[in-house]
Amino acid sequence: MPRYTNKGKNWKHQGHNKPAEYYDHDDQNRRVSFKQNRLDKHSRKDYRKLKDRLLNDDDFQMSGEGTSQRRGGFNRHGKGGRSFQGPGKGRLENHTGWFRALIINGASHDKSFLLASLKNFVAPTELIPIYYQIEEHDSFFYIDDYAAALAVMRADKQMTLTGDTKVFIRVSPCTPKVALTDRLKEKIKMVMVSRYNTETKALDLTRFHVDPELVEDSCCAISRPPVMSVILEVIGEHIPTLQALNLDHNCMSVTETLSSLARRAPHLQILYLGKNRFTGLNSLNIIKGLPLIELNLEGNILCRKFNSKTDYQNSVQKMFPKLVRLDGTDLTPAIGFDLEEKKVDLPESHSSFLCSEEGRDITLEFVKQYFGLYDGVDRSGLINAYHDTAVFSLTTAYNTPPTPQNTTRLNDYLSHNRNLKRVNGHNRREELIKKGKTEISEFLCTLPRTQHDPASFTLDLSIFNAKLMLIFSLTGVFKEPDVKGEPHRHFYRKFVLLLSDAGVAIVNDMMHVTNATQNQIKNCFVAVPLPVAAVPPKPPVAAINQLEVVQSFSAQTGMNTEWSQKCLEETAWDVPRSLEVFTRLNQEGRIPQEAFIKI
Amino acid sequence: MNKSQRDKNDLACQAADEFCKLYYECMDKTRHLINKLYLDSGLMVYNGTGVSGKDNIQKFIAELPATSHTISSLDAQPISEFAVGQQSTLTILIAGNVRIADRKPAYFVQDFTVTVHDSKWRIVSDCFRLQEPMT
Repeated sequence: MPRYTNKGKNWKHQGHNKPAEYYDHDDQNRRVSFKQNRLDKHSRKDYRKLKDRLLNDDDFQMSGEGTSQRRGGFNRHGKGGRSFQGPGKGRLENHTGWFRALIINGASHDKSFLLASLKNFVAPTELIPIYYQIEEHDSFFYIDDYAAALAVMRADKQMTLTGDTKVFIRVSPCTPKVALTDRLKEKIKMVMVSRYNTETKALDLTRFHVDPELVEDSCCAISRPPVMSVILEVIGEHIPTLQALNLDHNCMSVTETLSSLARRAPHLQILYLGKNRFTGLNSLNIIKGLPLIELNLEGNILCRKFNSKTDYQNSVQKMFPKLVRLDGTDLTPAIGFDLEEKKVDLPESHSSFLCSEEGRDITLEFVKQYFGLYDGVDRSGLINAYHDTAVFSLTTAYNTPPTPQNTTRLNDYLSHNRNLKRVNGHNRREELIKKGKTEISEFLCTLPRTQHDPASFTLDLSIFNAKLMLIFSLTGVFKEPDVKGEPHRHFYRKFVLLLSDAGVAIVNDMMHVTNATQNQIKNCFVAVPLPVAAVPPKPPVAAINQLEVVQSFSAQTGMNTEWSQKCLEETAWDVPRSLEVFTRLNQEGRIPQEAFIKI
Repeated sequence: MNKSQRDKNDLACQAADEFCKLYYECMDKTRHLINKLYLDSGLMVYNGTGVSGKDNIQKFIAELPATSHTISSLDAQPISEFAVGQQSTLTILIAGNVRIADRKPAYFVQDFTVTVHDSKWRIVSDCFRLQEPMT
């Protein structure tokens, strides 16, 4: 059978006569541009040979078109015109879109004079030096533009300052370092405010890092995940009604950093991602399906990876079915099928379900007492909670496949795991059921000491018979304060309780334990009540003050007065606690939109 | 523990294993048949939303986004005679990952109370909880 091989293929692809359209970019062309990028690895001699072949080939013109726009900039402004230069001088690898220009002995020059001279030298190429810093004798700054980086590179040993001193400059591709201090975060917020249009609900973050407020003392690259996450946090907290977001010209190449965009800005309709570094439509997978009506991708390499404009438009429209405008062009509405609009909404989650109101108090009282004892130093008191014939069994499983490095082990539970998917022997299965109140309470004493977070609990009472029994399930988070690293766990407990005049007794008890998620860890134990003695009880807020309190709370949270009052009432007018609860719920997206609608 | 109790435990394990396969197969692929697994008066509690009556449950489940469950843990016990008398009843606890629509798999735990009716195991009640509410 003949094997497919690349070797025989002429990558120059002579006799290829397709017109060099903007969108025309087949495999062969891509391969040419790919080779160009790898030329550094060839010797200069090989390279010259290749260059000759390329220059004799009509297709080369097309490949020039096919590579990034920055290359186009090079042809426009570069002194060598079309005959681009060898791997040493005048070429730059360009992975992140970011460059660092190092000026040897830069510290001895006056900053503004040096930069002005440099700007002058590279003209007409525009240069915006970002975050100019002194590093011992040298100085450096960042550049976000290929053409400018190349022009600065050419100034090396060519540009002279006063007294005919030649300036030595090294330009290299880089990933900018961002030190996200509180001050910078505050500044980002301020700049966002200045770039937000309240009327159109549009936030313009075009080339964010060159904002006059930021460019001097930070390299605030949106393409860096920490910066984007601050920006999304600010959006989620202060402008959740955002409708248009412009992220043009920010050296972005992935959308992973935008994963929380849908949650933070649920009303977003217009998104600009032009002049970034997206190389394929799959780099937009994370934001696929956003209900956008307008999208701008102009100036990204991905736009050129399609056979035709229609092909490009259709592919983008498939990812964003509601799209009516792409790159400034109106689209013909896509004709699809009703079934394609997959229903992805789950019914709203509630923290408790009670099949009978009557059963509420007894269940809550039981939970309080049981977990009070369970969290104590000695669990032996739990013996009284169990019936003589009670049974208990434990299962555990990792919620994500465990890796040696980053998973908290479940070893304390695994040795008692009665997972029927793993434990097959009848005898072993039998052994793993703890029987009778003594065996059960003794066993519970051997498990690591715990501290449960009652605020994390969910409770579902599914069966209640006042004279006989009840069945309920409880989930939540606990931590193990005595275990190294204080692991946090998620648990699910199902109890069958006998009810009699004498009280309640557990007859069946099932427990499942897994690791808590990062989110759960972050959000649990936030409302830890301070020791009673430390805080004197607050005098109740007099009714006359309540209105004021509500109004100020409403101003702080953005919720309307009705919801503000609700929230305050639930914490007995404890304002800091209300704020805490609000922040947590808001972060989890559990506050309905209507709470923010002010009439 | 006497022999008959041990037999009951064995029976519970067997039934739970079969039940687990059937239930999630039905949930993921043949939802229109899921009412057959519930008692007429069965109750389903889905992340705190309760639905009672087997036909309502089927309607509710049909409206849910497509799911695909992977089970990693299963356990079962017969419920005490003191609570249910001679009516054979099991409690089953299942955990695993569920992919809802095209989202990332999420960990869930679900428990069932299952009883014999007309010589068939049927669900009296079940509670389903995702480890974290989906946003």
